Amino acid sequence: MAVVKVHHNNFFTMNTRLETVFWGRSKADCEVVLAKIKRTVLDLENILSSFIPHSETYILNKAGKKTNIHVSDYLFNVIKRCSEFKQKTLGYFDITFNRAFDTSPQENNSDRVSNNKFKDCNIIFNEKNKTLCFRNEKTTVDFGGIGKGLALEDVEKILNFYEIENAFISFGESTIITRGRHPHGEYWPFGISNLFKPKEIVYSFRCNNHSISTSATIQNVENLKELRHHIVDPKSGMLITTPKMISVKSESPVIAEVLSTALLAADPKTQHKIVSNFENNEIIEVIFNQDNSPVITKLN
Amino acid sequence: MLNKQSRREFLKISSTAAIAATVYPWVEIFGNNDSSKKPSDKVRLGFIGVGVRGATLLLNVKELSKETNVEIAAVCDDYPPNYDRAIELAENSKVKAFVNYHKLLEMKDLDGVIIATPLHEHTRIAVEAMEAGFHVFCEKAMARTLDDIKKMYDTHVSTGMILQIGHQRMFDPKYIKAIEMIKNGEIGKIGQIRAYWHRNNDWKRPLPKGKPELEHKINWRLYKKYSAGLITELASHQIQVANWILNNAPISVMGTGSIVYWKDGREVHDNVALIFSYDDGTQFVWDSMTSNRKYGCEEQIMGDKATMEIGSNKIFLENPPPAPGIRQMIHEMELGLFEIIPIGGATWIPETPVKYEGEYISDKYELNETLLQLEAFVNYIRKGKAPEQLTIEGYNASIWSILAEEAVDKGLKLTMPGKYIL
Repeated sequence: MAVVKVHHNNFFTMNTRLETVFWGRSKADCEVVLAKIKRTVLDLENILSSFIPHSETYILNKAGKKTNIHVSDYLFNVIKRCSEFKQKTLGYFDITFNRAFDTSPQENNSDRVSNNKFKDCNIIFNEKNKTLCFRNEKTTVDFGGIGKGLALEDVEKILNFYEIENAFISFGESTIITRGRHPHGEYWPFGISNLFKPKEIVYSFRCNNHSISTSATIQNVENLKELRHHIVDPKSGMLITTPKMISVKSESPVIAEVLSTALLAADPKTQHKIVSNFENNEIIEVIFNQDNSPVITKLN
Repeated sequence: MLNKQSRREFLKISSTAAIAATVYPWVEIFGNNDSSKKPSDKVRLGFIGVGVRGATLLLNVKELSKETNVEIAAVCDDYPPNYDRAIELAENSKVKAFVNYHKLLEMKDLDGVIIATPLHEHTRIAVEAMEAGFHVFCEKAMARTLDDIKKMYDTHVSTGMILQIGHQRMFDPKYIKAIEMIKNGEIGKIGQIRAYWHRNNDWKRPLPKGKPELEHKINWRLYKKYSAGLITELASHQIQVANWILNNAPISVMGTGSIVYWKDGREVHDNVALIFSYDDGTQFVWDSMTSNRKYGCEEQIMGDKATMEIGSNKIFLENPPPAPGIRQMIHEMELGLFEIIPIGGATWIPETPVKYEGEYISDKYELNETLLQLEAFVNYIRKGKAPEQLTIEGYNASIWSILAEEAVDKGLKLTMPGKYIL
């Protein structure tokens, strides 16, 4: 069997590590592509980050309370697109609902609701002037549930431009895209790990030109002494304590991220409605029993 | 202060490094018992110049004397407060004290002298000491002029006496480890070294009340006659580090400087920027100021594989190692295996700003490199000689410090005159 030269690189961005794996191209080609990816993703982070003080999103969050704020076409269109996703997911994907606003153990679910943090967070769009205005002064936007998908969407364009046929790009191993195939198979074989037993594969996907995104109600618990819940139902404001995860295989990394986020909080009936609004995806829900054994349900 | 456990750690570094002999030969002394003077024989040292730095050196030798057979035999300073303090610090009823260094050099039972006087006095004292048959440890920089530096070096060669210059980073375990990693190719091809030393304090020391005539004696670092200011007092250390890393000396230097903040009559710049070029194209960029300390003191070694910040004991890989799952996947791909790639251990956590913090260069134990260099000096005295590279490191750092000052003053890009090339 011919030796396959694999080119790996990575860099830190968007709170995690972006890893690139290419094969079938020269090292020089791969470095050119990596440089373009890095520049593009870091530029995007400088727009979408809620934490970088000079980012457009940071400035918008500071200034957009009941005031019309002019934003770039890119940010305007992204927020508009997110608003459409909010409708298609029946409100379960909502960039104005900060899932992470407080998941401290000191605050229980009733406190969270009574603290009035869960409010109507609509945004007023002015298409003509490309301005935005938050109806509620507590509103902010947070791209934590879609930013990596948006970045990978741009990465796909770069891979297409440079005619990269075989590639694997991972954003912290929770959102990935693939191109082509594994060097020794007809597809890229991915296994979703059991959150409680990471070496155990609970489900596998076959990918060519695809994306996979996984979200879970608890963090990877291999090294944690206790479960850490961090997902709040955007409809009720309640912390979701059922240990479960959603994995979505899609042709679009944005759709994969939106669905894995939205379906995590939705009840089964609503999940069905949401899934029916999106086509051509492979979606699984994994709920863990008390003995950490997985119960896998296909949602489409 | 150095303790036995940490010293053992240091010895472990110095004795296991395969490239030690060529890259830091001066460290071998710690593991070498070959000595013309028995360990039971006392090494007797005289201190000439016991101001702030000299007193620090004296205290280190006093600490060393607790476990090594070394004695503070004499002290000398022509400034009465320093003279009195030195006697007090020595805590040795037998210590001889002098105002005139010639008297100290007349002592027959000294093995070496430690010179920490103002820079412009180094040469005549060091030369006379070596000619009198004493080994010399001299604080950096070596001397105030190129000719004086050369004269010191030539005297070291002609007399065969040890001449060790006080570049303590040469004995700092994290620098030694960093150099070893660099020589092993771990940061790749070095394109640039950037170093800086930023402080936010006034170098001007207060004078004794009613003694304005002491201004030049106390604040010698501020006047061109005695010092090149930031360049000889600070840059010389980092020039030595850059030369050491590159195993080379520069081919040219250019720079600029100004007095931007401390406009109090001082003559040396409080704001300096220098660029040293090496024959392989590597640039060493150095800057210093004394009205801002945010960036402190650091050496950044930039290779195509990684950046080292040695002062912070950190290495930042250009391409950090892949996550374990990715590493396994790459390994299997290269082995020709077609295995399921585990992903999806959801890593989403509430977003907070993160950045790559790098890895440590060496274990985080702290050693007193000033004490280590003095321990080495004592050991060299026992052996009767020191590695020549030790002296050459000090020589090149000093020569290029003075050339840098000249480049700044003349606004020129300067090379080293042939007569100073060793």
